[in-house]
Amino acid sequence: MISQRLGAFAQGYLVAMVKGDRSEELINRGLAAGVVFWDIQRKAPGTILFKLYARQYPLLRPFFFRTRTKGKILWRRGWPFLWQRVRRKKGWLLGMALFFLLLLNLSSFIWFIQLSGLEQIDPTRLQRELAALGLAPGVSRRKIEGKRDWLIRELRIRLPEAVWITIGIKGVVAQVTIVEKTRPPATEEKSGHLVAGKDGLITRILVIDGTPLVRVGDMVSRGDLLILGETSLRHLDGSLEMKRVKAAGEVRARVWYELEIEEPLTIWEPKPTGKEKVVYRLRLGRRLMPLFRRGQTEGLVRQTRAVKTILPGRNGPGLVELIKDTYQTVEWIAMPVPPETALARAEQKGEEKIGLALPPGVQPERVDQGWTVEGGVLKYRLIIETEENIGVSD
Amino acid sequence: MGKEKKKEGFGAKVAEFLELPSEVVLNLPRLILTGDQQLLVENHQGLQVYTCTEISLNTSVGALRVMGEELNIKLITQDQVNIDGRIRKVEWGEREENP
Repeated sequence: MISQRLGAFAQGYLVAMVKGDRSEELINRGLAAGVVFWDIQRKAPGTILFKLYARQYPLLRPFFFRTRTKGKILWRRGWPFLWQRVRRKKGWLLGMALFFLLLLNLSSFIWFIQLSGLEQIDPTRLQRELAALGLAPGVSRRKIEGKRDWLIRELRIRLPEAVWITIGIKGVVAQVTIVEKTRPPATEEKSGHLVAGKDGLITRILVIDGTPLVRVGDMVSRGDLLILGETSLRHLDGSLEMKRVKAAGEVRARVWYELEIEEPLTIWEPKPTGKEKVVYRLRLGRRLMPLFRRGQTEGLVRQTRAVKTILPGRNGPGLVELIKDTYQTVEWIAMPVPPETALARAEQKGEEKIGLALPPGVQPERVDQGWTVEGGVLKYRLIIETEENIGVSD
Repeated sequence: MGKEKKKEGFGAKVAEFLELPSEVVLNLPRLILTGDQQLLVENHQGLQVYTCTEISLNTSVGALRVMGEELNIKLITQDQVNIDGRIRKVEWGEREENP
């Protein structure tokens, strides 16, 4: 149906009206002659409106007389008639051509600049920078399209707050989209350097801001300058701009920690002599009452306590308790410790100390150990190698 | 008349046996009714009556009367008629005898 309508428009069609009692007969005769009718409407008894191809209308003419009907063309439609009308109006045609030329010409300029993504940056400042770089309303689209990459690059230098900039051109609108840097919380210092917090051999450097002063493989001592708090921006014209910044980055280095643990090879232990005193007490709430005692002690004593709860309280110690204190007379004697036992103790202590000596999150990469015996003491030495960030703000 | 019917009967049998479309073999009209809104009639033999409530078409098997409201002929050619509107009734009238 649509193709038929399009075909009709292209070929030109007529809207015709037929009056008479035998209008159906006229249509039948027309059909027999190959005429195609569409949108047939009966407007009133004996009056039919229909559409037909303009070239087929002459085929109907003989049938008007034969069927005693009257035919009238109401409208001529379609491209051939439209073109005929337009062709006659030369001024109108010229005006249309001029209008389209003007439209085409005006659409080759940028008339609007749309800014988006601005949070901290002042839009007026951005407009000023864009205008200084040549992007302003009225500038040719082709000119901007040719230097779009240069514009973005130059704008990034002029707006250090921006982390990402794009310029898109849609019709007569230049869309400038900016993503601003998300700055870490402001620190008191506006600029500063990054120095080594520990001695180490540098393995990797990642500079976020500032100028690195060391290289991979350098050996640095605590306090050495790692990243200078200054940066240089090179403009396209070759000029350099120095700027003070807060140095930021990560400087990873091999760091060695040394731990020494001393473990005695002789320990003094109390040895009961056999003399002892036993004291029984009864505790009622806060009151402590001695019940009875037996035996005697002298000199150094060692006390041991045994408690039996008779009536437990709700919280804390029981309400009623029977306490047995044993006091034993002891003498201290030197007990030799085998080196293997002392070493095992030292190793256990070493394990605990490693955890305390290393910064949080740092794992040992290599651990070297050794031990010596000096003056009745076992000296256990640990050398721990790690890789960690040694950069700290000065 | 008898001869004609005999011919049609033979044609119908042949069409059925060879599984051929009977409207082609027997020159019968073909109707496609879409809901109550559109009727496509193929193989008609002319328009008899056309009003807003009734359209009557000549076919090989007699008059086809389409009744309804706001009936319009969207397209009419030698082979087909496209009718739309609110179709209420489609019925076959008496077959016209060929002179």
